[in-house]
Amino acid sequence: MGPVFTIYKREVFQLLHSFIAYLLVALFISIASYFFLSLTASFSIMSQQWNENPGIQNLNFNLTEMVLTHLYSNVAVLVIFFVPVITMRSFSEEKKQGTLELLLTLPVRDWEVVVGKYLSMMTLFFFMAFPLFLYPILIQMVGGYFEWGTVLTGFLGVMLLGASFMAIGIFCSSLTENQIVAAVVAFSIMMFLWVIGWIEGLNQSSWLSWTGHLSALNHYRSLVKGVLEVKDVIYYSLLTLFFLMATIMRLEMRVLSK
Amino acid sequence: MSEINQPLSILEVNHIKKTFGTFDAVTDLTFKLHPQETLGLLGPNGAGKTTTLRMLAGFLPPTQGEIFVNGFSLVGHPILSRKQIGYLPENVPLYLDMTVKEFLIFIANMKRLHKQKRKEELDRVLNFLSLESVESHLIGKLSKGFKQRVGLAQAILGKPKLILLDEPTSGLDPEQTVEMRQLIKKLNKDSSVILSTHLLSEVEKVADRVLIMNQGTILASGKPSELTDRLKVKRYYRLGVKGNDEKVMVLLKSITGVESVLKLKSLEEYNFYRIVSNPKAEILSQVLEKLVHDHIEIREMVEEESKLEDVFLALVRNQEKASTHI
Ligand SMILES: Nc1ncnc2c1ncn2[C@@H]1O[C@H](COP(=O)(O)OP(=O)(O)OP(=O)(O)O)[C@@H](O)[C@H]1O
Ligand SMILES: [Mg+2]
Repeated sequence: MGPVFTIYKREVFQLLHSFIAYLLVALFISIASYFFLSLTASFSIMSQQWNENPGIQNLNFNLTEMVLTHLYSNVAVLVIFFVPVITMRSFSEEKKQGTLELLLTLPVRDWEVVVGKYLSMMTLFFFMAFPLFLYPILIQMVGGYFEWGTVLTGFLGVMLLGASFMAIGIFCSSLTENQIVAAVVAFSIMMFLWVIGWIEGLNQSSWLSWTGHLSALNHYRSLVKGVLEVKDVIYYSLLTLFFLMATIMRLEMRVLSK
Repeated sequence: MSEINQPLSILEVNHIKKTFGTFDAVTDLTFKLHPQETLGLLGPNGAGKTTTLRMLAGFLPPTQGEIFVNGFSLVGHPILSRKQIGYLPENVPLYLDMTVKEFLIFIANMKRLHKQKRKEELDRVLNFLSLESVESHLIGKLSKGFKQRVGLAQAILGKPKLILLDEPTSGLDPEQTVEMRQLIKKLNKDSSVILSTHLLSEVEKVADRVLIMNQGTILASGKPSELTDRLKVKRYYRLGVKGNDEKVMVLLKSITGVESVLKLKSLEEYNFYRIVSNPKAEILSQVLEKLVHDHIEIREMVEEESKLEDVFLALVRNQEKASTHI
């Protein structure tokens, strides 16, 4: 049994024994469900109005676009708030308790520790995000219709966003033994990546266009609209890889509190 | 030079050095450790004991120098060499949210013990450290003494060739300390052991050999008894005589080389004294001669073993003197 799996198992074990993890999953799912229900409700009201006033022609009432796209956009903001709370413990707590020294002197490599922890958190994230996949099925069952391509790319978008932001969170946790500091720094980086694209269009010349490429929001947007493009997948993969590597390098520096 | 020759020593430390920024925590350390040997690393706070052990455990890479564990380079073969090491870091970090057994299984898996061996080792270790009664308790809820034993348990799991213990008795009450020392003494059946401490009495009790460290360097090394011999700062004698207290005091103090005389106690008609002398002066014959000359009956005269504490203080003082001269 490889060390990655051993660490993964221990981390999952820890999550299963932690009240916070259950609370986070429950909260995330509740809020996401609330988004979904309210969006569906407003959609049904609007479609009713539309049926009563067929004069309004140019409106395109599309369940997928109006409910799912909005839902995924809101969920992304939720991810920015939840991920730092999930990841803040990962290395900060080990540093604080001194167990990092125990862990890193066992016959394992630093990257195995990072990957084991990362995968455990992605498992948690998967369970948080999975209900997003269930809503369309539910609607389908009561007779609604979704474009399944968009459902899939949207879900992929949420997972990719989660994967890259998880890596950012873990990296921040490896910086300090203070969990709160780790969470705040992670939140700031995620927020920065989210809003950086807003200034893309401010200038006619192209010198701000890099902000659009850097923006996590821009890459997310197209996925959520049902457009699967390689560049978006590559963007999130690189972001994930970059921060996981940074975490490994940080661990290799062996910076301790003392 | 082959790296994988059958080694004569379990551990070979070649001129290692550790610098934090511009500060040298460890400067040029070289020593070897033989199979089944227990080495005490002795030094005051900040001497560099923890830094040294962290390098030996493969946690901190040395700024310079090399470390070979059972013939394997710590840098060149990190996994192979670490498999031979059991390490108990200072302050005994443990996963408090696991039970003793869950934790030890985790460690066994991390050390990649095979399933059959894992069960065997788990039983051996739980039994050796008398942890069976608490094996399903949460580590966080255990007393300090039990936590320390769990820490030792994870270190010795898998019978590593080299066991590193950083202040394994610190924070324990006297009874637990004695228990811990007895356990440590038994470790050299399967392994070589290095333990750090700032208690000199501890080294005297458990170590075969001692390295005295201060400010990142070795001040002295040797068997605890040899060291007290070689570097003895003062000699201590205990003398029991019959008769006149004041006369004896005066007589003893008049002998060249005697630095002080302390009356210990009176027992029946005998008086007992402690004489402290300059190590270079051979006062024994002089004392006997004078006592016989004055017809004082001698009950006993023995040289007491001088304490490592004194050796240590003297060494540290010498080093400090040397450094202030520069
Ligand atoms: N990570 C670090 N960064 C900077 N300085 C350090 C670091 N670790 C140790 N030091 C310094 O190195 C010196 C040796 O520390 P070390 O912890 O090895 O001493 P020690 O002998 O174990 O002391 P103690 O008995 O207090 O445990 C100290 O002056 C310490 O402040
Ligand atoms: Mg120390």
